[in-house]
Amino acid sequence: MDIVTRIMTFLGDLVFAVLGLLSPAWALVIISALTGVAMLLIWRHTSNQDAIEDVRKQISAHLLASRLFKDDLSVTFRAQRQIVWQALRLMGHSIRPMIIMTVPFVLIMVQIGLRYEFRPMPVGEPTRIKVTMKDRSKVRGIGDQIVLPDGLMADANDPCRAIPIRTIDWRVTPRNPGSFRVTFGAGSDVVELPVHAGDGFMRISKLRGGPFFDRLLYSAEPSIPAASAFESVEVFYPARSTPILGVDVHWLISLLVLSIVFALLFKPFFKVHI
Amino acid sequence: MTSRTPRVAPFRRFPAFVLSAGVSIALALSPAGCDRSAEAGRAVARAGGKRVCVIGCDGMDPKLVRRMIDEGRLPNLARLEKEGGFKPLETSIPPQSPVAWSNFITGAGPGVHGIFDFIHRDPTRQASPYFSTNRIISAEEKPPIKVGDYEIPQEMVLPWVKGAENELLRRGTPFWDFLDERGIPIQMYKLPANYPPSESKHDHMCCLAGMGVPDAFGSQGIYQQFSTRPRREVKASDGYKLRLAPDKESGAYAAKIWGPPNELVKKHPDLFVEMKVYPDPQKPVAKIVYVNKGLTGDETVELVLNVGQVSDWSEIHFLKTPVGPGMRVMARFLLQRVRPDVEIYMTPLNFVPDAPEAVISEPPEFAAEIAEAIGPYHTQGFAEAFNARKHQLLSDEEYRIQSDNVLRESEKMMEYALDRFQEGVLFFYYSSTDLQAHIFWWDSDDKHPARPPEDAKKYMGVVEEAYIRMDKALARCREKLGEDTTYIVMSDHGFCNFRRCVGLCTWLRNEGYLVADRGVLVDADWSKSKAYGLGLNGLYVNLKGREKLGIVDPSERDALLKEISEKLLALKDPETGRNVVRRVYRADECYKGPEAKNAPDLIIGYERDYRASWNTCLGEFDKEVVFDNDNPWSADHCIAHDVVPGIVLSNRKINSSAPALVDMAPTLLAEFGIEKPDYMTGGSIFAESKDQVAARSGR
Repeated sequence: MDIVTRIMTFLGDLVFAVLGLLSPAWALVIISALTGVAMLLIWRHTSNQDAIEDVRKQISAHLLASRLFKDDLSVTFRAQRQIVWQALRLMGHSIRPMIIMTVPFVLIMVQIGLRYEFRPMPVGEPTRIKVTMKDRSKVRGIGDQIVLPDGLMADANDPCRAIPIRTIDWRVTPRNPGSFRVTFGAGSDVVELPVHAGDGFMRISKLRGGPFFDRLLYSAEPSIPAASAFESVEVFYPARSTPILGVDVHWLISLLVLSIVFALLFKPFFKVHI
Repeated sequence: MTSRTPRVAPFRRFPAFVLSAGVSIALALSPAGCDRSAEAGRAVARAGGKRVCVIGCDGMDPKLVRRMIDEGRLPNLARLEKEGGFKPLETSIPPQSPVAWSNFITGAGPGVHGIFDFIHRDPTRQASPYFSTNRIISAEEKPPIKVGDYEIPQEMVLPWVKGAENELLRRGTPFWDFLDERGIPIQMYKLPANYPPSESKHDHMCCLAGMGVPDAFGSQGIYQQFSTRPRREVKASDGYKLRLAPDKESGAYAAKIWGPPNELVKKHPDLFVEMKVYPDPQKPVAKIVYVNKGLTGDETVELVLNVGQVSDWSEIHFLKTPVGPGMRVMARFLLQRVRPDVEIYMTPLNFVPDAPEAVISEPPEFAAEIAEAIGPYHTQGFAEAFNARKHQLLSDEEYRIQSDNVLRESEKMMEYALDRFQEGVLFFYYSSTDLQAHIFWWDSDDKHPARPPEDAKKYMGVVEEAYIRMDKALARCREKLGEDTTYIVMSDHGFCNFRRCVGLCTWLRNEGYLVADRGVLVDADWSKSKAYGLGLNGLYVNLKGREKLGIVDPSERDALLKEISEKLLALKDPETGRNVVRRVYRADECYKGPEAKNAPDLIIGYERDYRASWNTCLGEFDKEVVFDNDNPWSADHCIAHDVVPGIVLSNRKINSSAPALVDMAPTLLAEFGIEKPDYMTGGSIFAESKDQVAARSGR
């Protein structure tokens, strides 16, 4: 998984190196357009376009039949039965491209999510960092050690060690904007995590380690070595808000709606049957 | 051959499409495209650019304002005084906030608006008390639909079955109706005595309701305190003391955060969310963890707090059945200590302003719009944790921190209000000057009921600091709104020390007017009781034909009232020899209007330093008639109205020689050239007329 993550992150960084010049909202509109076009192209090359065209024609023909012969009940029922059957066929033809599209779409979404889900730590305000150990006995001694670079400051009472649930919490306040590397642990067992502060639009990994799906969705960081006493390190960044069309909805909804809209708009130009 | 629109080749249309799409998106992404407000789409306003800004500082006292102006500590209020004037503002009878703010709202006295006290009684149910400003009208009596252990109220699924309704009990016409009718925009923030918020008939009024808005229990604020100290769990009407028990399995301390009863389950058990607390083994810090149940999955909430630190607003979700509906509320947590015992205070459960369980603003989406701009805020009317301080579950310092959070939140909301306000009337209410004063005010060298002299002086400084912040709020308004705005800074009453308690019911029992062992509401013998006390200033005659079990013949009423009044005015404090009661007001003399018939028969105006005991409020007894107040609630204003006037300052000349609260509504109307209606008993403070004082009656 680390290799795939690394490659996708590299590609994501390349794309956003250009899109990052725009405002986050514009970048999301353009990435949605690109995603819509990519979805169209994948659809065109992975689906049976002739069969889909045939099905669509059949549906149109049966719709016409049911309209023309609306006084003839037997023809109408037969046409409607055929419409349902052809619709099921259409769905059947969609399964393969949908499955194939899922993989790149998830990878694209993860990359977009790394930029749009969270915003950097606000300067001057504390943000929580939670460390989870594999074993309760490691909470004190290793788990509660931290090296903070200049520019980050922990609360005087930190850390808060919740031994029964193997967690150590830090409340870190950035003094100035920037990207920092925070080191947790001691001796040979250390884990690093980059943290970001300020107002910028950037890639943010909120997690290192942890459950598979969380790692897949929220992290561009390498896994924690199996021998480490650390299970995960997580930064509770504030959520990013990216209003699109004046509406402040979650970026994923904006992406889905806009990419579908763009796919439908571009469909005639690429001569794709959906 | 039919004519057809010529088809354009796909790629020739492309640039036009891109251009038009680009323009549309650019417009949508521009700041103008993002502008949404309750004002949008509402009727066109006609204030002609005129602006009146009213800052309502509950309980701001004229004596302290005078002193602080003279000391140069309130420069902006001093400037206002120089420009237009500073006068005491005659308060209501009795000087209680719901009564006083209703005077402000209607421009008339309690005889018109019908609010006489915090607590009223229903004579048809013999002294049954209820909150005076609003009440819930029960749903239609229909059996619920039973599904296993669940009981679904019919009104939930059948649209024709009428559900419970919340009714505003304040009568009379509020001043904003006249402005609204003429297209003058009105914005009011945290307005007291207007819950549920009255409707804007012409869409020019926005109002966030303040005092009176309940918590999620429907009460005026049930806090929850969790403690590892071995003690009996208590669920009282104003707060829960709960046990934080060691959980052997997890090694944490566990408790339940209680919510209101679940009306969808048989026997209506209380909703709850499990909470666990993990104190650090050495440091003064702890982690609080609870799980919000939701239809789409559980969400773990984790808070890390230092001792003495208050959390941000944290949402708590109760799920009434496994398939919904849920209830979203919010609270703030204060970690009080972690050693030797762990103690956590949780504020009452407030509605989330973006989706409140009840309508708390007019228009209803106004509350959410404010939250969108400034984040979550106290929706419950009484935001300060005075009950917890009264019960000594919060220290002075903890109360100061909590009430300072409320004030900071109000300051933030005022910034939003100033950004949004264009023209018309802006009213902004601050509770801090009242609810900090109730706990921290002490302006004499007498022994303070709850703190040593040096602390009494120190915490009086907290009240002074609140006054300074009101002064700064005024400066901020002037900075934002400019000099062509009329500014009015006002309060509903003043303040004084509350050193001695008066057990009115105890006195009535001692004098033979009331026969009961434990209390009016518990075991009164109504066949022998002639009078009873209820509320902070009210005294009722057990009148035949009015009270359900009344025994006093109407022909004997006057003589009885005279007798009781004379005895009360002669009542002496056995410790000091001072009179305890300054004035006894007869409702039929001081109130005029259609609601006067519902008033208490007598309103007791206590002397400075005295007030009704807490037990009196609900008709209970004390050991003595006059005794020391030993509660941190050490200042009050529910006494004779002439002892605790409010304030009024303006940059326009105040011509009225004796301005009163009932003058404020006519003043606001006059500012926009609107003649006051006949029922308003006051007049504009800027336009003194010779007979103004004489004309005023029934306030």
